[in-house]
Amino acid sequence: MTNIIHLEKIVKKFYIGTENELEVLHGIDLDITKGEFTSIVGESGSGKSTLMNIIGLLDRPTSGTYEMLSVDVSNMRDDDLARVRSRQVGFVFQTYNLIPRMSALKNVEVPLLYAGISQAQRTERAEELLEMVGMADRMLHQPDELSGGQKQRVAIARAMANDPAIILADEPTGALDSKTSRLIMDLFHKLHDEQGKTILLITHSQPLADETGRILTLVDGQVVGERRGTHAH
Amino acid sequence: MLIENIKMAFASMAANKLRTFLTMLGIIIGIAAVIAIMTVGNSMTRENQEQMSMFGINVMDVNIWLADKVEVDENTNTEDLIPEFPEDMMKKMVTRYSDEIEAVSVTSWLNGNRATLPDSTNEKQYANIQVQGVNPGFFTVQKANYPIIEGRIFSKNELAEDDYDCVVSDRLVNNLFNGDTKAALGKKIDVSVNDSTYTYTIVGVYRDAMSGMEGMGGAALSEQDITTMLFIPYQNGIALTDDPYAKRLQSFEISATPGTDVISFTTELQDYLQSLLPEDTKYQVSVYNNQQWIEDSNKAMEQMTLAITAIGAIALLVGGIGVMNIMTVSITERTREIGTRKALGAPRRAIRGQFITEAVIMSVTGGVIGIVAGLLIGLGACHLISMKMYISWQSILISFLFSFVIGVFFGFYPANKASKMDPIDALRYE
Repeated sequence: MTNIIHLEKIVKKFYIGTENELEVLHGIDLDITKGEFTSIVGESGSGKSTLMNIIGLLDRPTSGTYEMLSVDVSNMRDDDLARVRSRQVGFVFQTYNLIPRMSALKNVEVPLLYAGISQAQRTERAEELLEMVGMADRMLHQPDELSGGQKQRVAIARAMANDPAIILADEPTGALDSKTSRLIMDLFHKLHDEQGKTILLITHSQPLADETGRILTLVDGQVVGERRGTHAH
Repeated sequence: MLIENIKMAFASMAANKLRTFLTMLGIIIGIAAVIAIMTVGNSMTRENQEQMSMFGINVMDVNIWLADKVEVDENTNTEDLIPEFPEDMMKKMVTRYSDEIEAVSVTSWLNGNRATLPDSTNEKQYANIQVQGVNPGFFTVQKANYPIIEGRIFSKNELAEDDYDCVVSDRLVNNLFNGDTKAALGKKIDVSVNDSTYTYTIVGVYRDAMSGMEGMGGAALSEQDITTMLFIPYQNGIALTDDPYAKRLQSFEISATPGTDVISFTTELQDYLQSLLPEDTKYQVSVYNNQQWIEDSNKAMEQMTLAITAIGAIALLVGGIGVMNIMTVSITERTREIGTRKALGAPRRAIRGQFITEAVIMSVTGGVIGIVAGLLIGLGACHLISMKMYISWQSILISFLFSFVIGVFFGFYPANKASKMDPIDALRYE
């Protein structure tokens, strides 16, 4: 199996060099292979957001090695990180983060735009993705005309835009009711089962984590447990 | 990417219409003020120039003199010393400076005094005149003083010695033809020149602007006795005179093509004409212009331009700060959007480009509205002081470019700030 993510002794400190120095992650080792549906469970303050930011290339570790697709990305410049993010990471946020005043279609096109895809191809791809998430009939709606679940489906389509190596979902159902949450989780399962997407779900909800193939528990900046979930292949 | 940025800029401007308009207002007022003042100023200047050219601001006098150093004794025939331009000089000059020279006026004075109808017995039917032989160019150089209102001027092939044609004043037509200028054309009149009487055919009538003026010899005289100019072809005039001075061409006038730098052209022309004379010449060429007038009018224009520049600069500075301010606000409001875009792979330059584009679109839109508003104000102002409007294309172009530059300049700082945002903080921003 190909390693998508390889973390080795990842340490993250804040306020470096001051007396209040705070070490949030204490040497995390983690490998995620292609096609895995993994979840990281932790209480707030456990460092899961920090870990997510590092894995998502939004932040750099203070020390340790991070290889994505066997390329060392621990010390890349901002714009290089942006380029890798654009191609290899798809984000799904708890708050959807759709860009206001842009149609669902245009929102899905954004990552394609930054990847340098032509307008015609962008539209074609975005339409295909929105169809896949069941939003074909609302492509031209603006975010404020969509329900939470619809917004999240658009966000998932957007995360898939550049066919990334990994999808990072940070509490994707955190703001949704249980029925809608179910639909969103089903969508993730569909992506995983039908398209073999590598997905990393970050959540504080044990039941949701249990649905995934592999569950890591994060406590105080350390992985304290790993078990297999119900969805293991 | 640029097209996307422009679309996004318009979308974001449309989302905050009132705010966008208030921001643009600074630029609109600045540009409108500059355009309005420039339009009125430009129109005034043009009007001024037209009036100036009436008084001969673009007219130069060319003279040839006998230099002081010439020694004269009793054996000298003074007639031999009368200066005269070499025959080919005019042709060379006109060929060489065809761009700068609008027309050349050559004249000679004759002793005329009265014009009457042939065979008229009515002693009260006469017109007082002075007779001048002129070439066709005279009517171009002096178009402001002697505008033709009926008929025509002399044509080139009418310059033979025996062409007894004349151009007369409307005042003469009043006296001899009851003011019917159409009827006067083609009529013959008797003109006394140098104590002889010749019969001339009227080919054209000019409006007499000069002799009717107060203090030009008209005030004390009755309408009938006011003396006006009667023009005959130059060659014909030369043929009728015995005066050796009048027969030789010692001076002529040039009108410069509009837009010619008269001051520097005067110097250049003088040097050139002098160079056409032999090294050991006794003569000296001088070219004069109405330099003082030119300088005064230039100075007035410079001062006006300076004032306009100052007003415009202040207004646009204020407008630019407005743009910068609103861009800063807009970027703060859209922090999450910026964070999202970064997470989705936007490099710094993409974020910077997006917000600079937005600032530029905003200020250029303001600029265009300002240009239109300024032109309307200028049109209204020109209309109010019943002046013809001349649009200053230059000021429109400059204003447009300026509003563009303002967008880039005042948009850069906020845009750059946005591009440097930390995506994590930006995504977390509430």
